[in-house]
Amino acid sequence: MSVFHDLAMGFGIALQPTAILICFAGVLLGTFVGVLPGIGALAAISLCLPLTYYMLPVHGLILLAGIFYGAQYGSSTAAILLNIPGTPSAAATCLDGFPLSKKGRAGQALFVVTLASFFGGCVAIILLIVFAPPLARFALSFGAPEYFAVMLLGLIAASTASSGSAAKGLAMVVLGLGLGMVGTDVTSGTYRFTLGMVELTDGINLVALAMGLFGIAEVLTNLASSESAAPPARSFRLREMLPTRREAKDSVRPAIRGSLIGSAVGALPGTGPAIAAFLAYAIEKRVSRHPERFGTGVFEGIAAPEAANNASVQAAFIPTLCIGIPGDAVMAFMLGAMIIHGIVPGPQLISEQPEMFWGLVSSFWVGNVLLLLITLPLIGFWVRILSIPRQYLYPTILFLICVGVYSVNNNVFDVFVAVAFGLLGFVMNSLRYPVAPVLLGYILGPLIEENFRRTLFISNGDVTAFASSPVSIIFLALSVLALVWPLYSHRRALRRARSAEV
Amino acid sequence: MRSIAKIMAAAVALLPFAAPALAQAFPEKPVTLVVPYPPGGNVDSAARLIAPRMEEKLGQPIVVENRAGAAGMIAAEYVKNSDPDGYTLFMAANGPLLFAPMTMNRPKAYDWKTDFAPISSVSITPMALTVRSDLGIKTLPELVERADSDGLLMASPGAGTTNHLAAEKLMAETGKKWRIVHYKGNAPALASLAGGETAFAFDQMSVILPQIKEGTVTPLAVTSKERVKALPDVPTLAETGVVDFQAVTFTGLLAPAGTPKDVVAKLVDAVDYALSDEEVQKRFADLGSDTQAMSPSEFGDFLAEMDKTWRPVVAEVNAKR
Amino acid sequence: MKSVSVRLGLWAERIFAAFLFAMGGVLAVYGWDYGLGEMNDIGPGAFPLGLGLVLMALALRCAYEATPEDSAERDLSALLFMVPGIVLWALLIDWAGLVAATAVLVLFCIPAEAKLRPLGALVLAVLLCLAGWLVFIEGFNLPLTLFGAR
Repeated sequence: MSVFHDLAMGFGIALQPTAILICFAGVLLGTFVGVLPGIGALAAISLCLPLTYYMLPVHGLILLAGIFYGAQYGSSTAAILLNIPGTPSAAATCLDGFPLSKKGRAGQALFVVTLASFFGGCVAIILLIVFAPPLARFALSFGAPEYFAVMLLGLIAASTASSGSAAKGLAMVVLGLGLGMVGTDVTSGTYRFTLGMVELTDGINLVALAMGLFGIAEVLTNLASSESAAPPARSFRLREMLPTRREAKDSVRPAIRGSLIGSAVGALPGTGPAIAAFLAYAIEKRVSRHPERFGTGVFEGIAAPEAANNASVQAAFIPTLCIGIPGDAVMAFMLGAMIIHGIVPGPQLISEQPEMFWGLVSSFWVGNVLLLLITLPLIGFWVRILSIPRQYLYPTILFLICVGVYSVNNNVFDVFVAVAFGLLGFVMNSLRYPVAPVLLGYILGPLIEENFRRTLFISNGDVTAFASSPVSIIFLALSVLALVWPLYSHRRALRRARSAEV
Repeated sequence: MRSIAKIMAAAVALLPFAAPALAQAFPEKPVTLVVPYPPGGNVDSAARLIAPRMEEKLGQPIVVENRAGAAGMIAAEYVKNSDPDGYTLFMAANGPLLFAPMTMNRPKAYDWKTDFAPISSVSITPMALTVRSDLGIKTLPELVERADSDGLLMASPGAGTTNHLAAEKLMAETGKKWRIVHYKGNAPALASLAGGETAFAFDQMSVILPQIKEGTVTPLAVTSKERVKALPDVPTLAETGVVDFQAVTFTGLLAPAGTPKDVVAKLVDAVDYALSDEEVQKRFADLGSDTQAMSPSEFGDFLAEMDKTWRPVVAEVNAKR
Repeated sequence: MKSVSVRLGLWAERIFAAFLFAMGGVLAVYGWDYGLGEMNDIGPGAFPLGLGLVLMALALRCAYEATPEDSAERDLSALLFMVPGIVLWALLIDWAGLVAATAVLVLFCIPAEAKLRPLGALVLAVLLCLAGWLVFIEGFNLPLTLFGAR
């Protein structure tokens, strides 16, 4: 098979000592920015771009790509330990990760997410190797109705996934959708809800929103209540961080499902790892036999989203490399970097510059193995964060959030936005309104609205356009199922409970 | 740290000349290029490409600072409100400098004529008008005709972009009408074109060249004054005989209004020096752009011409929504 | 620092529901104003209007569902000091620089956190500034300054 020949060539490039060293530097830096709240991969990548001018093009890309997927490994750390996602894509990991920490299973949780991330990465890379061009064509066949159907499924699946009061969960989804409307309307160019503030014409900043709702709100909530944060670990030996056989077994299937969902979502331009992670979490809860335990600290609830977000960032290279269409801001930057290096991503890349393509793809594997080797020994170190007295930890977190949020646009306005959402999040935590649905609604809202309106615009008002392709029909059907399923399973549970009483 | 050492060294070296040397002393600290977009785009790349060479010429570090947001207005206002001493410069492009203040109805909006001092343009990026190859359309008149009669859809990377405005002008001048689908940026617009959801589009050269090479789309015209090196067989808009205007995106450097003439002159030299470097030219060519240095007055005239061409089009678009 | 305790009861639930209702109202009213468009060209106001109406309905539902059992005791002293601390950080960072802004932020954490002593706070502020300078200014080249105006 020629794939093996190509791969051999790729590894020939990726396993050169220089390439390994550069890859190591990239993933290490990525892990680091991933752990720091607010500072994302983009900051580190733009920092390293000038350095890559002096490298071989393939080395430069290995470095930048390493930062990108390395950040996904790091971002779950603060999510699990402190309930603060290092990047917005780890927000779904907070839902069960932090409760696990509270139960004293922080080390095990970090262990599981590391393996899940590695697994997700590997699945996506295999797909990238075997199916890249057909997957890219499949992604291209997604038009407005297909995007609408997929996003709708994501929204419905996830909005019925929060625990606690259904009305409160739904209200938060809708609030998030509303927040997503702020800014310039893509379809008409109208400024909506900008309150006359020029800073709001690009919408509310995602990082500011996430760091406010999760980070600042978490600090305020902890200080204001008598509830304790996660207990410090008693031992820092790696052996004691190993999950039990049961915990490991619980995580396998979710990691597989998460990897597949993440790969599929990642291959679609315009989606991103946060959507992949939320979707994987929601679906995991949906197929679980004990959905009520989600949110209380189950390993399924962290393995799935972490496998998904890492798979999605690897799969995001599919449209970027194969059709020259970047999936998100970071990928757009990578694309720019490639062009500066004289590499034109597009349909011709694989045939015209095979060493480039296969070298980069092979380096993903090298990078994921390196990340495994870096991250596992670090778990003991990260868990020590929980032993830092909170009077020093919390000011430090606030400081990191301030700098991180500021750094996104080098603008203090975003810090004010984060404070406002910190207050909102505090009130929501206190009154048991879930925060994750706000973030989800905010991310999905603009995509759903845009594609809904675009579908009707293109079809000239014909509603049947929504069900014009097999893909959109399948996803619309799944959306209906996702709506009906909770009712059904609720009734079944009732029936079971009744028969158990008898 | 290195910069501090450099400043110290410079200060010591300049000590004997003290006051009278002040004017000659520019620059005595790092110069900042403010980019109105996040890292990664054309404008950001342009700034990062010229920065190292300008550094060589000026003998001071050049810092590229991204202040994205509000279609570039945040960066523009930041530079406008900086001291006019040549240390804070605006790496401008069409949108942030010209279109944004026209579109946004704001009392405090800035005006490039009164608030900025042009230094030099840096690069010019032409666009290509392309149509999906499977439609079999080969010329611009044919496209305009069929877009109107068959209801072909055009992809635009956003309302108010040069791409969108070029289409509005083409419609106005030909008297034909078609529907424009707006996407959020170049990538989804291109995906819709390549995937067949839309039929034709104006796209920046770097974005569309791979698709042209692949044969997915057929180029009908380029929007620059002269033909583009990468597509020698494709006519300019004027050569098609249908319309006569050019629609290019540019990048250029401006200082806050009131920056001393000699400081501007030094910066002009530095830009000239950077753009005369063959390596730099090659990198711009890879990005699908041509380097283009102008004197401050030429750059001012260039901006005035752009302003004259596009202000009525923007006003028209604004009135419609 | 004396704690400023508030017991969150039914009243808090109701106020927040009212807040959500108002947000829904804003969405709906502005949505109406932005225009609903046509079937083949849905306007920018249609979604906000729809979302606003749904949010108002859900807010009513939340208010109706609220029970006194949801109440919890909250100590607001952290909030009262930390939030101004962050706001001041943001106000100071551009013109006064990282050192002053961070010092103020940590200073405002002292009354919010009983166990944070002035000496500990001083050490913490110094360490954060040092780390911030190393990582963010030298490392990531963020456009921050240590002592303001470049």
